[in-house]
Amino acid sequence: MSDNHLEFFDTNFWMGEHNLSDKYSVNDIAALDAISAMKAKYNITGAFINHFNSYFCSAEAGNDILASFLQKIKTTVPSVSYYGALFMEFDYFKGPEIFSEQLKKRYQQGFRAVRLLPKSHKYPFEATLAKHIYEVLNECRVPVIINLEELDITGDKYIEWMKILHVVSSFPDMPIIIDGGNSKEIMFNSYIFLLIKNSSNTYFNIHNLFGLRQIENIAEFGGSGRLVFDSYFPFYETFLSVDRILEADLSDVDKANISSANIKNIINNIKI
Amino acid sequence: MIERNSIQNRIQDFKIIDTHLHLGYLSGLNMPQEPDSAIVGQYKKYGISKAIFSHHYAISSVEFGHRCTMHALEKYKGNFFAYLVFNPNFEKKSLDIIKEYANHEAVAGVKIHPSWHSCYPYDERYSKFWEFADKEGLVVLTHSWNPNVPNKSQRFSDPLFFEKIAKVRPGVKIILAHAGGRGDYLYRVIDLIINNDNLYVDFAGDIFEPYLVRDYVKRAGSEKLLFGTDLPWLDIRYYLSNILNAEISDIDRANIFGLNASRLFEKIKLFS
Repeated sequence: MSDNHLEFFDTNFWMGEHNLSDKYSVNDIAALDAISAMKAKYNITGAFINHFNSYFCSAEAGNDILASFLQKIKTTVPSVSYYGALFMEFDYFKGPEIFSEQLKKRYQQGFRAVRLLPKSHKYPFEATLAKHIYEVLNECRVPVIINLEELDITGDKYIEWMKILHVVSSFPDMPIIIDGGNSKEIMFNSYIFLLIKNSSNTYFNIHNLFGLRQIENIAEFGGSGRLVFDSYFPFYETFLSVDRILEADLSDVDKANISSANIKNIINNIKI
Repeated sequence: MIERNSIQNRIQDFKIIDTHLHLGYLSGLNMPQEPDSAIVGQYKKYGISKAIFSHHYAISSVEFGHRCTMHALEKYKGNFFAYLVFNPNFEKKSLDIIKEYANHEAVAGVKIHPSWHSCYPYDERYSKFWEFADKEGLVVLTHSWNPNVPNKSQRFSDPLFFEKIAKVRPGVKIILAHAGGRGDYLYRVIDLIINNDNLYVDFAGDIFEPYLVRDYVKRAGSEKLLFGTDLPWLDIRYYLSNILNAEISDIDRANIFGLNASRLFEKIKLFS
């Protein structure tokens, strides 16, 4: 397989109105244009979409808006597989029955991942207090995405690595994707290696694994199965992540794993 | 199928000079592979034969760091050139070294890092250094960053500090590394280089703001923009991709990749 055939699935695509910056705002038309362009230019054939309204307004409102947009993609750009990243609604914390039922409803609408925002939306993420949430996700094998900055409760680069390790080891069927976000911390430290070594269900998205040969080093250490492609659109330009994988000093199989195979396996493994 | 053209093919018409990298390990930076050989490996892969470094150890230690700098110059003679480092906390010792070695054939300039050394660049401890740099017409590469970020040490490296220094010391050529780092400072620095003949910028660091390079070229032209990577903190492939994909002309690309550096660092004759 040559690079010309490499297919990408973007695990970190954002759209909607960004409350702080018009530059980062992506309305429906712009998002559809971007989806078509990314398919044509980079062979990005799928993505998890995160909606800024879920982040800035309310999880429920944003999830509803995104559910409608996912339908729009199906009719406008039918050749791609774009899914929603579900943000936690207030009701989900009431109990496992409610959460399970709501998760099934959102699954039918096209959601295939859950994004946790414990710091921004002020709810627990550690294994005991959020136990019923994780039990449902673990049973359904739904992937969870959590931004590294959301683990930095102090805002002073104090990342609660032990808590996330406790979560991944307590719920081994629930894949957790660590999203580097804007954080530099993921570039510098050795926690990544220890998380990989001590768990089987931790993954890292790649958009800011900026360190010299960092992607190759992680793949050599833990295998390419622990990395998933993402663009971090619209905060970064998509060519950065695409070129990084195309130019990686890795085998074609490793590149294919990172670019789309790993996340497709995770999606195909969901039991709802 | 997508027709893809490798970075190696796309850069072959350009002369590339990396004006911002570091050699040596650093205690707080995870580097599983010996950084110097990894850097040389990347340069070889992409045909880059000239680079200007400041040694990590020279930022962290005056005497040991200087010895490491000189050793690296000997080891990589003809390919690597150096910034000496001025540490205002060891004002006399540090300046004495600079005075002794400033005319060395492979010394390109001086690096300062106000955040690392916890000293404002207008502090009295910098005054004799600025005086000497002005008199000798030195090129000074300074760390610069938006002070309004969680990392409090960045307050020492506000790029706006350097406007006054540039005006008072017209003989010094100052490169504002990282183009101001984050947020609105990335754009405020454009005004600085437009309004001050002796201020330049590089795009080293994790500053992959969408369309930033294009916006700089549009407003300030391409002649004061330098190609820098900050290796080994960041992988060179991101920077090559960033400049190659920027919406600018190939003439501007050639300026940024190397022609500007060869003019700015005329003393060391990067290209004969």
